[in-house]
Amino acid sequence: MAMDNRRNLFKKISARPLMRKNDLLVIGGVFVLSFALSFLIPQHQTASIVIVEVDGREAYRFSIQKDSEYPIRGCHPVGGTNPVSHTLHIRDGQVYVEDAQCRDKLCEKMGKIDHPGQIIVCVPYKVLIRIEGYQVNENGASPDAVTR
Amino acid sequence: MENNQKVVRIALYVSLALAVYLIEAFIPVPVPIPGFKWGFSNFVVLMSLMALDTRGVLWVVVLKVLLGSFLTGKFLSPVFFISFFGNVSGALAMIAVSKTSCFGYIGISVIGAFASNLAQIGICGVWLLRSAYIWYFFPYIAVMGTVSSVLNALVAKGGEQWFQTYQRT
Ligand SMILES: [Zn+2]
Repeated sequence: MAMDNRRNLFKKISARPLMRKNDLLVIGGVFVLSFALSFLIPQHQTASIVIVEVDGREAYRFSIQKDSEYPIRGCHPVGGTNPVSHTLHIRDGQVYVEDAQCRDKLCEKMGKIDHPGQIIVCVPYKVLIRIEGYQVNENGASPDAVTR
Repeated sequence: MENNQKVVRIALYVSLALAVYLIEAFIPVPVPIPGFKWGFSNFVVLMSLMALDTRGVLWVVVLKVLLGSFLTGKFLSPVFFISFFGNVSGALAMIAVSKTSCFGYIGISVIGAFASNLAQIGICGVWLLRSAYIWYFFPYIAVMGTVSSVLNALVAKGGEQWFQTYQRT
């Protein structure tokens, strides 16, 4: 009885090949979609503002032109008042975080970002840092400067 | 399959998946995205998909994530939820497409990884970070997931053949 079941099991296993033609379509589809999605990221913009979202709300907004360090208060992982969770550094148009209070420190490992669309996230503290830019127009004039 | 045999199979798959899951923690990921790993333990899920029924496969996946998170101390952390919903969605997608004979191991594995990545980014965007900007990472992890899922399919097929010869003796 058990032997028969086992035979059936093996039959089922060997019935499916490693690859069918459709598999190539699936792989192609995933690559095309990923490629298309990456074009949604603004390509021809100049970085201008650093926006820090905490728990989905814009909490801070800094000019990328001004080199400085800012304390960031992320969402407290277990509730209570929001502690300072990161130090945001802006230096030579590059943005990165240090002094992360999270355990894995993945946000620090994400390194430096400098292009509009790029992000740094810290999931435990619900912090998302992104860069926004503006379209460079023909005569190279920039819109109003952003302060703070 | 006999019930005892099924339980033994599930235990075997879970322990195998856990071993890979723990070793994987030491393999570097090209993009430091929270909770995202190569997902090499998925070949075990793929193997269980071919040998067990739907409930059996779900047992393997849920036990893998639960025990894995206990062992790495991440139970109920954000990473746990990303991992849990990702794994379960991937398994459900693979179960669904394996009901047809349209795809081989590779196709099923790639679809599973894709569904899992969608769920991971979805849970980050809607619940954990509540920001749509997290989708910036999607192309990276989709490509990463495809590469690892093709490898998983190769390992699953090879491993199954090994199991087959091993069981006959
Ligand atoms: Zn962090």
